[in-house]
Amino acid sequence: MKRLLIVAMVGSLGATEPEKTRDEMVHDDRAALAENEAWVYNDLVKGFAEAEKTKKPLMVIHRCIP
Amino acid sequence: MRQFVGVRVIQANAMDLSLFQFDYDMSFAVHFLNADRTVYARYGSRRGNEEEADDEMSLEGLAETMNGVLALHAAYPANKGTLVGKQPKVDVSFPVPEKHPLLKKYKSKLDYEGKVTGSCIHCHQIRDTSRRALRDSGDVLPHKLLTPYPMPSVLGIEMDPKTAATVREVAPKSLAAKAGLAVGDVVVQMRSQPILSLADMQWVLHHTSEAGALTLKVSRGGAAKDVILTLAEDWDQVSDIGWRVSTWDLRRMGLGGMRLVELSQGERKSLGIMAGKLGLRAKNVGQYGDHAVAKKAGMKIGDVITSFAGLDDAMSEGVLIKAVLGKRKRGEKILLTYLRDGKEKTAEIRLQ
Repeated sequence: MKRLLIVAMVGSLGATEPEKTRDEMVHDDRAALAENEAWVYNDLVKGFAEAEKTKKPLMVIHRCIP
Repeated sequence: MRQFVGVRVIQANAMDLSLFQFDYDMSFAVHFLNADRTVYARYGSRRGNEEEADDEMSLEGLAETMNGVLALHAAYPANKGTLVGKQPKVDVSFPVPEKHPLLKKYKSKLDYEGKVTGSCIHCHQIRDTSRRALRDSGDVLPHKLLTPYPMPSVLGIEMDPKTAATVREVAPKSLAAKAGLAVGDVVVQMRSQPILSLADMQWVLHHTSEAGALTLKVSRGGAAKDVILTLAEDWDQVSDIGWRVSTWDLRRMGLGGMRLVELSQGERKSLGIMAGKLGLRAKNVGQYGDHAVAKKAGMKIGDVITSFAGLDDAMSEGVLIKAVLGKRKRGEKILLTYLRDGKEKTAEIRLQ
């Protein structure tokens, strides 16, 4: 199960759609992940607060939209 | 994944540079941290482009790293002392990238209502900016800015990307071979830091400038063993920087905007370039603006450089860039000798 989650994560992170502009891909990326409960999207303050609350470690991924 | 709080960051704008210190040429980089900002591990390595870009990473390797992080987290804070070396160095010039004068056009947030891509600071711009500011001020570039995050391959060590930190190959006659490192060894610690990834090893090597002993604690067949490598002064000189996106600006500064590649043995022979002598072919010659200095000096694609700023020993483009930018300053004119159509010619370019 863990592997599937990682595959889904990396797949969505690395997904490219050659027909779209980079601006469109950036917008699409936010739309795809912003409501995904598995991820805090582009909000480190929220991420650290969640880690403090849950006592879980943080996994911060720096990943440009290709 | 459910055992972590996952945060996805897509730009370097507002990046806390006193916390997030890593190889800024990565297009995928991970920090594992405690909520109190203590860094447990880093993940994400690369030494090539296109097909090679993902060779150093795998889902299996990432999963093994994540398991290692969970073990560190479970033992925290009792193990905090062992994590000291992994923590970011505090001497940052600017708190966030957009506070640097060269990046002042950028804001802390992306412009989703406008040209969002153009509002984004890329990670590599962090190092680009540091280098540019130093060059513009008249300084040479220090070694660590020219040779960031060396791969352990410069020591003769190839790691298995399907694992967190298991040795896959040891190059014969290398420093690692002489020290007795073996295939299958699991690197557990370097310079007293727990190692959970290739990126963790690169972090140690990035902060290792001095010659002397480098101790790797490994697990071999379940037993702990120390492997001590003896580093010479220039141990990381051959660290390859050619693939790095940030090297394009170094080419502008030191090579007049040319991209150079080493000749094959056959090319050397046909051109009469002896072994041990410089032979670098211009694969690209910048066409516009500050990247066109070599073009304006008459250089063309295919020209073979045999002497550059008085240097004519065989070396890679990366070693040449380091030799020039580590010793020569902006504004200096340098002479280069090259071959074109069998004839030897000279050109002069001004360093930037």
